[in-house]
Amino acid sequence: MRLQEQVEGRALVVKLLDSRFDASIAPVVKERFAELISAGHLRIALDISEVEFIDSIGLSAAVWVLRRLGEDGELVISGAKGAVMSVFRLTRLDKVFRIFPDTERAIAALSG
Amino acid sequence: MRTGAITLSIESEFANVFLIGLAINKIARSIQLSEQAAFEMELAVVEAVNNAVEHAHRQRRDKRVTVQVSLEPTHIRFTVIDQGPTVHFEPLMSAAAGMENATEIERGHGLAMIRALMDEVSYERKGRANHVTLIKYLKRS
Repeated sequence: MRLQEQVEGRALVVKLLDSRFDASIAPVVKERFAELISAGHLRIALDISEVEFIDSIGLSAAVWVLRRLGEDGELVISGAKGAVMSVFRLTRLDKVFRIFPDTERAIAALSG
Repeated sequence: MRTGAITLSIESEFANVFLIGLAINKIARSIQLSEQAAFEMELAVVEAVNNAVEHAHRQRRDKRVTVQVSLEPTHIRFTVIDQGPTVHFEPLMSAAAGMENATEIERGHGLAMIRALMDEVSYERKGRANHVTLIKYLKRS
């Protein structure tokens, strides 16, 4: 599992560099996000523009992060491609997450 | 359209599931399914295999998950086979049908997704194995 992390103003952008966000990496992703949240990062954009495939366990990891942040923080999604976006719609998670086409807009939303 | 059958088998751990997914996607593309349709077929089968790895085998690597793929003139059929205990499938399917709150996905069951993506989903206990069969009918062009 490969993550790229970059602080942008008040937001942290975490880019998943793997092409599959699935059950094999979900536990490690959750572990890293738990560390980041403990370190005080509460406004996070998860950039999944490199992701070609996502399963329900990958999605559940993102929901887990959202819940972990609670009301004091926010997790937004950026860069979801067509097929990956279709899974967010299928599971109605597009109503749960704020989803942006690119990181610039995600950062702007988190900085507001 | 070409017909045929193949059996895929992996050691029961999440790290191997992508190999099944890639094979399914390639097979789906070979019968002229769209990129989106191939993705959905891959996702449905991956969800079924994930269920076998997680719930049937409790991630025990000494178990195997087998996927039989059968290309028929009118449909494609996947049978996912594991050696887990008997599954009370109907209550699970009913629960999946009632999954209205999207965040319930955190429970990790992909059955609702499988239901939504495939035309038929059925379960059979054969000997000491669970057989979950997924069918997708092919649109004639």
